[in-house]
Amino acid sequence: MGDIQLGFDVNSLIVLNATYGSEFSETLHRNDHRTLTGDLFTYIEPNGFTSYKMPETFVNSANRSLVNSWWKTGADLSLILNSDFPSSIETVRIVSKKEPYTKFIRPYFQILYAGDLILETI
Amino acid sequence: MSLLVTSHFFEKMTTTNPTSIVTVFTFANSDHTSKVVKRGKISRRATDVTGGNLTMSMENASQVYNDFITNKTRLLQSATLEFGFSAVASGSNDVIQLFGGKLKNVSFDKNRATLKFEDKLEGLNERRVGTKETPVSFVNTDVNLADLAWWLATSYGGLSAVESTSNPDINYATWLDWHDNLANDNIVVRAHFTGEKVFEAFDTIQRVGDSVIYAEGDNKLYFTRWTGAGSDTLTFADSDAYAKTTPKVSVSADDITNNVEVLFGWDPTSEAWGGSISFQNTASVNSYGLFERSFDDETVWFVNSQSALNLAQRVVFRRAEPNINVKVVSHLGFLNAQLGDEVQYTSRANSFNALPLNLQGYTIDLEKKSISMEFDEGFVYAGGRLSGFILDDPYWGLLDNPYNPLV
Repeated sequence: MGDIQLGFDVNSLIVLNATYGSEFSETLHRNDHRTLTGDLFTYIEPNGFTSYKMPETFVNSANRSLVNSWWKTGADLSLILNSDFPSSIETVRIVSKKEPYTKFIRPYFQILYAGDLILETI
Repeated sequence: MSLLVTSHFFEKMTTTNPTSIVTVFTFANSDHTSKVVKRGKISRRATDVTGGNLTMSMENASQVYNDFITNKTRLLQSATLEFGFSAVASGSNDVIQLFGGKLKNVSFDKNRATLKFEDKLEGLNERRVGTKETPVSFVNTDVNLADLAWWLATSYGGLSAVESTSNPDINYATWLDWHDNLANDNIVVRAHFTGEKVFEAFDTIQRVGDSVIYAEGDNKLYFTRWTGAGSDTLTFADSDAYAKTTPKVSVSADDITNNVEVLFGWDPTSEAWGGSISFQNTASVNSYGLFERSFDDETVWFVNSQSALNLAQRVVFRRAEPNINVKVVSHLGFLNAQLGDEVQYTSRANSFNALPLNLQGYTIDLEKKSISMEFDEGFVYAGGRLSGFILDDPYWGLLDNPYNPLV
């Protein structure tokens, strides 16, 4: 199993320390309706998006600063879910109103951090 | 009549899980689809000549729409909203235009821009016909109502006068059918305008002609006059109604009309009427009491008693009884329905079996993928029933021509 990597381009990737509880989901612009006779009408518009939520721990200061700068600028990033298969690249952005890494890890105060990194495909 | 769509579109539209849905929003000849955050609802009613407005919520985090503040000439540019399905074989989109209009208002809130568009034909509300000092008259010539409407639309409304199906502003086919329908009934009128808006004139024509003039998503004027069941009558049943918003059925005596007086032969100079006719449904009067209505329009009026009687009979024929009204929310399989279309409504809850109704109004919600429709036993100002003969009915069961002119 390879690493999960994130960066501006494939030549400048950082490794994400995703822990248990990582999630992903695809969202479609979709409507499902039942009629009075129980018939199901389903309308799906193209161009949905995929969300990735990755709780991370032991994030060093350098990566924290880098990721937060990407978050502040809304940068388009390359996400590789498995470095063993580097061609499986998704173009994503960090989405959330707050910066991703907001927790200190005892006893590595101001050295290592934790938080949830939420990415969505663009 | 229903809107003409391709067989591919119809097949996709009526399936329960259509694929390859396409929505295209074009503004100022550019595709702005990717910037749409939320599409507004599109509503039309048979009593409104134009198609109403459309509000589009657009992303403005890119600040692309801030240009409207610095470059105000971008207002009043045209936009269209289309919906349909991609046609794999041809590689192009198979869509219908649901709305076309001009940008009238832009507002900004956080990172969004709200664009409000006005139907293209709303411009008819800005134009007047004649003035008090210089009226526009047809007082010496008998005209077909359809010719009057055509003249108003083209000479005063600014619409194209091309007399073919290539007319970009008027659906010529429906206008011609309407013209022939009126001619067959020998309906002739005269007119005198002293500054009425084109909209107001159309409203009078609708009322006098027992007709519907309306705009569709392609920004063309359509014309129709109830003639009974057509070959493209729609059917609506419980299998079409969304369960979350169950159909609302009401019966109302608000619009009963069983005695109609129609005045004719108006003289604008002497301000006097030449005569009047009255028509009454006695059985309805005995059942519900007297409900009278008078038609005395002084801008468009009938020339003779025959034309006046035709209107009186049509109104009484269809409004003699309390009116059934049905409001439903349905799937998108009725995107091709048009105002005035006949509908055969079946509902187990109300024991309706192919009840003949007419489409009075609709609202298309592309966000929820639903169409809210209002069906009415009436037809705009008058009533609408598909049957000209009802066995054993004390009134509709009579074969005497004066009582059943449509038989």
